[in-house]
Amino acid sequence: MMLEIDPKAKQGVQLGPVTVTAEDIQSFAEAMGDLNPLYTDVEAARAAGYPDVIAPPMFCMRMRGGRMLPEVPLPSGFMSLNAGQEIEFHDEIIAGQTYTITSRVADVYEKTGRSGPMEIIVRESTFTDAEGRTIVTIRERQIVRSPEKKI
Amino acid sequence: MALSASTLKVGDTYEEQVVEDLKRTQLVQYAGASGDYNPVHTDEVFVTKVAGYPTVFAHGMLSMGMTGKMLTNYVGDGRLTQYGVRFTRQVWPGDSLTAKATVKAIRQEEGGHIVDLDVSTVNQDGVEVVSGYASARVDP
Repeated sequence: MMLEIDPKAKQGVQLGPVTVTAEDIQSFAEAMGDLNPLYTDVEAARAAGYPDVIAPPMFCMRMRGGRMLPEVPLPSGFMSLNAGQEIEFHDEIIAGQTYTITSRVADVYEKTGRSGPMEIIVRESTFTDAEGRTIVTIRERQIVRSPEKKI
Repeated sequence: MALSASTLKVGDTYEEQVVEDLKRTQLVQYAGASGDYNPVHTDEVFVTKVAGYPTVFAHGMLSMGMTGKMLTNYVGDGRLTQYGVRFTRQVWPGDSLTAKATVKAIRQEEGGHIVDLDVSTVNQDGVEVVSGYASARVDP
């Protein structure tokens, strides 16, 4: 198997601009069991010098959405799993602010893991704020393989 | 309290339990909060009959996020500059996870101080489920 990557996927797709809400941050923090007051209490966040609540570092994964973009169509019956990621944080994600996410397929390669051959899709996403400053970059790996082999 | 480069030493460790007896409910809650509806995390029929796993398992991102809670508790809010992980084993309902950071290096960069950390999260059997690294700004 070699996955076919649309040239547009290599160029990248844009998500947003999206405005982050305090409610989104709170529901995400609760789902992770992380009730840091800077994530849930606007007064605590203001006391710490922020204009509104800030997001936990991993909130960027929620912003990029449940599906990794750009989408790469998988052959029928194939499964995929997230293998891991590397994130660089340049500044905080803050409620009420607007961000744009640009994602592209940076690489595709084959690898043999514990349980056999697999294909890895590498995506890079860059988050910029309304002034064009880079806030977060994510590099993530998605494992793809046929269903008769477990990931 | 922020960490201070002058008091940190290579080999220092910090750990905390980030979840005890992980509930299926939390997997559903995380799916909703993150928008990640991959059925291997929430659909028992799919995951056992189609995908062939013993039961549903946690989103890697949930394990990464819970491990991140340990990191921000250790280095302080707004201090993390880098965080990368590999998911080394599945996390199952009922698992209890302990996340640990170990100081690998303390260095200066662009006039500021940075601590580099090894990150490891293990389950109740001591099996590593998340392996990674992080860097954070610290006080002088």
